[in-house]
Amino acid sequence: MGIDPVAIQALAAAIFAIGLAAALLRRNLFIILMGVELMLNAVNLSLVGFARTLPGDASLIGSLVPIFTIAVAAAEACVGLAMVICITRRRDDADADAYASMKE
Amino acid sequence: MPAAAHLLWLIPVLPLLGAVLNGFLALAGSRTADGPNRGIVGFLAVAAPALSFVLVLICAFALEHAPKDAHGAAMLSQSLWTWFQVGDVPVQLGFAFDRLTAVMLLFVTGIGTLIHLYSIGYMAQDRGFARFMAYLNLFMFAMITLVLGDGLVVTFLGWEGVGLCSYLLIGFWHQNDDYNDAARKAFVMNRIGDLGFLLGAFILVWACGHLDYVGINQAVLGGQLGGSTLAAACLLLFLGCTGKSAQIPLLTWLPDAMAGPTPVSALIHAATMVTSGVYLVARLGPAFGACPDVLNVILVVGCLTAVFGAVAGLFQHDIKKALAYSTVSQLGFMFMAIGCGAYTVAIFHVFTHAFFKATLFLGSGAVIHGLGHEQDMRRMGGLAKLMPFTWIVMFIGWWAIIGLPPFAGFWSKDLILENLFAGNALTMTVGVVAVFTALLTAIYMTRMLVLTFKGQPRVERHRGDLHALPLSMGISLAILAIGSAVAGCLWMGIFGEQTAWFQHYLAGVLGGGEHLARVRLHIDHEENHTLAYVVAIMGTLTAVTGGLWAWLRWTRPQTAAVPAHGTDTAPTGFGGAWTYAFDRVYDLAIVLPVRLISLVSYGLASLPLVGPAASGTARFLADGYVSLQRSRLRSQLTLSLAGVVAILAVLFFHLK
Repeated sequence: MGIDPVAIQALAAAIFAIGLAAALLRRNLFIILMGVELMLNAVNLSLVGFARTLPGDASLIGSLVPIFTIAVAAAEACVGLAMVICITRRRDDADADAYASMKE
Repeated sequence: MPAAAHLLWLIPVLPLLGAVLNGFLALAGSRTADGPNRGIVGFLAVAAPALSFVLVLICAFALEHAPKDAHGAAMLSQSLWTWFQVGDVPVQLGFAFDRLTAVMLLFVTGIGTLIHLYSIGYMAQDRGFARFMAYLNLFMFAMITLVLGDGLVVTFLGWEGVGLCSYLLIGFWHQNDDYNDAARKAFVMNRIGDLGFLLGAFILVWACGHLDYVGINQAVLGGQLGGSTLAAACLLLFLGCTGKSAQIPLLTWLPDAMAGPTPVSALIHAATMVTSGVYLVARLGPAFGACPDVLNVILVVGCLTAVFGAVAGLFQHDIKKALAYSTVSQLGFMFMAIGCGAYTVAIFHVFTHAFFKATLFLGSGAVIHGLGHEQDMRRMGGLAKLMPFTWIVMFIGWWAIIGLPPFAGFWSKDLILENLFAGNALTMTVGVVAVFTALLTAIYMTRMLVLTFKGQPRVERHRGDLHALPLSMGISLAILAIGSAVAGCLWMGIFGEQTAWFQHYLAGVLGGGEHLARVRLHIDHEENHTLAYVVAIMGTLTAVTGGLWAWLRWTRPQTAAVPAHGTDTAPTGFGGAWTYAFDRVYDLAIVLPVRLISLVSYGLASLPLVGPAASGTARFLADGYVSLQRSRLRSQLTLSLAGVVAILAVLFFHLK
């Protein structure tokens, strides 16, 4: 109860930045995916942090929303990971820059 | 409002349901060798329009007990929901059922059902049986919507729907590229007309704020709408009619549309869809009646089209093409009747024409079916002995169309001539041309009949060589032949005291518009029995003369060589020049200018300075955008991040 809401937001922002950096700077597809997950969960954390500042029931509802986000994110990660595994198996290469054939 | 009004929505929805079910069956059975069960498909396809026919009958009887308005016209109407809103004009998805609708729907669903039944026999061997039936049902839905719509918007929905189904069915045998071309031609030419329809509707809603027929007609009769605005709207709507009803200048798609299976030609391109232009004008009778100039245009266009179609019909070797030009010509007759303000007569000719033209087309279909897809009349002759039933049916249809008493065509064509001769100087001139056209009609129809059934057989055939006529085709043919024989009675005095029962029946709906049109055209319309008899005798004599001459002319042995099966049936020489006159006009007026423009552009593009500049601009417009696209995943991510940041920045500063 004693945690400062600003500290929570600062932590969330830090995690988001780490995730963003991983997604943008790393070339390994799996790390990019992990970066995306980090960003997503940083947003969840931020949401819960804000929810704590609300009074009564609104706080509870705010804390519930991330549960749904986590469920959706799990499904998304499932599909994303499956796709990454599929394409890396095909070419035996996890380097994101190797997959640049979309623009022909 | 009688309870039957609540059933109106079912009339179009039943065939739609048939189309959906049959479409589903067609898809479900697409993997099997023979397609879905033909019994189920055929039953569904016939039951849907048959039930609609029963509903139309119920509504027509209920209409007689509905409350009447000041003109003695009753109407059942049903408004389902507000479809959309334009400014302050709400557009309802609504249906209206009055006596004009009743007449139209009775023959649309009645003849439609018979043609569905006929198709079961005709298309039995075709792999695409279920798809065909689904399209036919969909057509019934669209056609009923067109007729039942309470305003221009709902009618336009049907108008486009019948166009789509026409396209789908002309190109039904899509393995043949010529047929696909014919389908595209029909679609594109109808689009030109549809643009006229839309612009006309826009002008009407802009000028009087109504899109429903009652509102428009009342605005015209009340004097809020008129003058050149109304004339422009009516002229544009008539352009739509020329597309749908194959009048000059948008007519060449109809003969090409014969690429579709014969039941399609009978249902869509003879009996129902092509007459919707006549229906639309009659429905907006007061609006058109208030524009005598537009009526004169319609009169002249109808007259020229009738002559053109009749002459072109003389030169055709393909039995269906001959009938197609005959349809073009008969539609011209209907528009002549419209042009002299005789809306009821025009609708009566629509009604009788639906019977005898369906009979003739289905009869020709029986011939084509019997001979194993032979359509070239040069390879027929003497079939009367081999196909006595089809011969009798075709003979009745022929008797009706050339206008010999007492069959259907005599009554309606005679009435058109009578109204033309009872009019002003222009209509009388047109009347003389119409009599000449009637003579041509007798000649080309007799030529078609004789070349097919009489004279010496030009190809040796035996009874055993022919495909037997299936029962379903026989029943439809018999009923339609009886219809073409007796449909004219509706104008005779055999239904109670009233003479001209048909006219009396429609007087409440069409009388107001007819009266206005005649006043504006300066036509004194009064009963003139002498004229009626003179015209009747003249019409009969014309038909007898033309028929006899042609009968003697074409029963003589033909000297021309008999071509092999599958030879091109396009006429040559003068006949070819005449038949393809309008195609040549399109080539000169549209295709050639487009080619010239592209040639000039091509020449410009090869000049030293202009060329690179133009091609550079074009390349930037086309590929320049592509150079902004990134292929690398991380670059894409960076760009989308930059986009989000930009949006947030704009929002942030904007809110501040």
